[in-house]
Amino acid sequence: MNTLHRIGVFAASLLILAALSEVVGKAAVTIATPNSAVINYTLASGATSSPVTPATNQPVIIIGSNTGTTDFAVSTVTMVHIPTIMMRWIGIEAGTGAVIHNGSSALGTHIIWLDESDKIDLEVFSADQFVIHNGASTSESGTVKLIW
Amino acid sequence: MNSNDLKTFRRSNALWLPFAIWTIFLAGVLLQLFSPHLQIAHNAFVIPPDAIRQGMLLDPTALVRQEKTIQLLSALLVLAGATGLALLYRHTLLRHFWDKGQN
Repeated sequence: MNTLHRIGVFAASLLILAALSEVVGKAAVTIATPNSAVINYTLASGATSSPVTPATNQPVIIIGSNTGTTDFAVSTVTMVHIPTIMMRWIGIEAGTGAVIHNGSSALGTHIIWLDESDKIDLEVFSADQFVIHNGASTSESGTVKLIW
Repeated sequence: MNSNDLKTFRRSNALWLPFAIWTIFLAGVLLQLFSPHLQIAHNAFVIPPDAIRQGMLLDPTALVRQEKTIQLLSALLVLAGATGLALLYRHTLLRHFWDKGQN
């Protein structure tokens, strides 16, 4: 009985320690991770992603890259989003490397190309959101990273 | 307070304290269920691919904030609970390890 009791105490202590290290370890990693989010997209021809809301009232860096084997490129844009008013941005286009800057709340306004052939882009959805739009004739995939 | 009242007080005290500490510990563990479960890759939170296809509004800022808040709260509760349990059962634990050392 005494041995059983000891095993019970030991097992319970181990279980609590395991839960403690798991939860605290996960929290430490989560808190140490910078405020950045990666959106991996795969969009059929002509498809549009869910609307994405960037952080408000602060600069947000958006790095996008389409990773299709025949049409890959990278572009970046720095954006400020004033809620319900509009988003303003400045960046460098994929493909041409042109510097762009604009601001809008109008649906469909082009923000930046993510691919070499100018088919996949970020577009304004509303004053508060943008979408990823695939205007290519093939399914395309890639990544959009937001840092704020 | 007479001796009977004192005994009753100690008995009720002996009941609610372990209950409260276990509740804090389990609440911390259960809180994990309410986090958005964002994966971390290359030092960034990964938004689940399903979320981008479902047509709903996606707010990475709110998701990341929620994840960080829940993880922090969960860690604090579990840490407090585990410390409380260690203190509550210190005699049992010390006896266990002491006896083990003696054998």
